[in-house]
Amino acid sequence: MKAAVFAVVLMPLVVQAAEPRVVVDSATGVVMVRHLAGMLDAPEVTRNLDSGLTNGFVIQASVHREREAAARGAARVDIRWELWDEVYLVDVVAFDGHVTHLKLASKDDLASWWSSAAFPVLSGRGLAAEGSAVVKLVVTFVPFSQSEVEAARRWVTQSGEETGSARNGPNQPEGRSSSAVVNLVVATSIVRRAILRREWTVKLETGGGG
Amino acid sequence: MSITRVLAPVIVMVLAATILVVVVERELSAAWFRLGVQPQVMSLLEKSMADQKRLDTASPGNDGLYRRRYEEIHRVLNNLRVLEHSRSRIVSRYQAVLLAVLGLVVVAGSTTQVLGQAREHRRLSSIQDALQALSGGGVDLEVPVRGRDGLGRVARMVESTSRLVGRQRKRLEAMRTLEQWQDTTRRISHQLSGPLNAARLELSRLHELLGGTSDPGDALACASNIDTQLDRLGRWTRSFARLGRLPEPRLVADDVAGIVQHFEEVFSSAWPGLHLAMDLARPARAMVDRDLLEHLLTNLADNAARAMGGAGGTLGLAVSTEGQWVRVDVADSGPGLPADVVDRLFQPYVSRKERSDGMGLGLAIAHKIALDHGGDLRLFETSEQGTTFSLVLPVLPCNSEVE
Ligand SMILES: Nc1ncnc2c1ncn2[C@@H]1O[C@H](COP(=O)(O)OP(=O)(O)OP(=O)(O)O)[C@@H](O)[C@H]1O
Ligand SMILES: [Mg+2]
Repeated sequence: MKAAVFAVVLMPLVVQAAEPRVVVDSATGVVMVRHLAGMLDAPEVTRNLDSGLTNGFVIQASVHREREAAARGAARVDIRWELWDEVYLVDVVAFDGHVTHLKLASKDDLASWWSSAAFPVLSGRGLAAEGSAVVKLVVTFVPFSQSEVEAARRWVTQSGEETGSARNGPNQPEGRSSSAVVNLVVATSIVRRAILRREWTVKLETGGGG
Repeated sequence: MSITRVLAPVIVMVLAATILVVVVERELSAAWFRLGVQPQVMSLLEKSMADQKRLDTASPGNDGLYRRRYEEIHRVLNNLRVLEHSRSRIVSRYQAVLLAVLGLVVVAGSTTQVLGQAREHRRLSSIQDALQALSGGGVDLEVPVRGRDGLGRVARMVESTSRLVGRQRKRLEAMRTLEQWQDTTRRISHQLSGPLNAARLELSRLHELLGGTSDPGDALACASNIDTQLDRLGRWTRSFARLGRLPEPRLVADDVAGIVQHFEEVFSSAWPGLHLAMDLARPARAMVDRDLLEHLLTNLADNAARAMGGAGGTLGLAVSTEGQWVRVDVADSGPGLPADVVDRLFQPYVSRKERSDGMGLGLAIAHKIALDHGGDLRLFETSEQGTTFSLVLPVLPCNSEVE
């Protein structure tokens, strides 16, 4: 019910305000996603942007033609605030694994880059030629990276073992096993999960180079 | 085993475990976790990072010390932030683990509770059975209840009591048999010594008579006396033999009333002076050995006839069915039983026939025959107006024709 109300009342606004665009570059045949500006302003994102952890956006696109999936691909954008140098370190990983590193000096720079950036999600050679197609776009946001998860897990496990052995001496498995349960609970509970997810279905456009 | 006896401790256990889980979870674990990812700690770490940076610019040439320290703090802060993000997940996992432990404790606890109660129940009923067996006369019982607890001790006590009872009973039986034998031998020797002494006296008289010149008629009378005494001895030994040889009854379905009627015809010719009164309810079928039943009736009727002095008096024979039993009453109008005989009536060699040939076996034999038929022989009543013996035999349903 709520979802329906939301769809009827808010969707037109959202669509007008922050509808991304998916464009096939007629020269390279690469499908680019643009205008994801709304994502960066979402409270889930702004809250975490300066955490020092790696904020990851995963952009997944699947192109449908006459209701059948024709192609799919994804790109990833990692943004991390580096306090020491006071820069945003941005990595854009394209569908083909090509990584672009960027350093952006301020939040404004980041915002303006984000609003104009085009993220290459798949190679869509030939897609544009055959008339109208729609793209289902899913963008998720995860506030930390896999390696940070692993570091945290290691840290928890090690600290558990340290306290365990400090309390009971090095050769007492009992103390270690008791903390091992807690460690296991904590360590296995730390997983990467999207805290924000947005979906759009947009027309696949054909555009000029760039 | 009552449900409430099992449920009550389980409910208490669940409550205790729940309280424990809630306390541990809410008051301890959650508190520790909050402490670990306290916003204050995090902001302090952040400030400390900024401080390292400031220190680095303020004192150049520190060989990257502050940078390293900064990185170190950064790593810790990152870990804390990741933890902070996973907070709800960790908490719910932790709760799940605690709940699983709770469930395990409850299941294990209630299982042991139920099993324990079932075991106690089994042990109790074993003891109950043993006590029942003991009260029913069981001896040398084995009670399958081990253990050193109260029940185990009770079981051992029941066992030793049953052994004691067994030993006492054997002693008692031995004593009784011995007493009976003593009684019997006393009676037999008394019985035998009478005719033997008489015969010896007659023999020595005969000796004298034959040595002198007396009347040959006297010698003949003497010899005849000896013959009579020897005849009595002969009859006694035969009745001993009869008791010893008393056969197992060969049971066939028969009409008891018919047998009694036939007996009456034979008996009335043997005791013509008696008045016989019959009251027969037909049919009264039972599994009987006709010969033995007639033997039994003869013994009872003989006693009655002798008690009434052979002439006059009424002998009543009645047959009826009473539920599961066919009942045969043998009643006389004699003087009743001597008081000292009543208690030991069916024991062998109990006789009050002073002058005579009574061996005191008649009623013992009759009793034995009745028991062998699955029935019983009882003294129904005795008084100066007469005596009634009642024989009961298991009745055979009318429609069953076992021949
Ligand atoms: N109907 C009766 N009336 C009175 N006294 C009886 C009667 N039946 C039995 N008695 C007494 O009970 C005693 C035991 O009887 P039982 O038939 O066992 O032995 P008995 O008649 O003395 O000897 P036996 O039957 O061996 O020849 C008798 O001696 C007699 O004193
Ligand atoms: Mg008799």
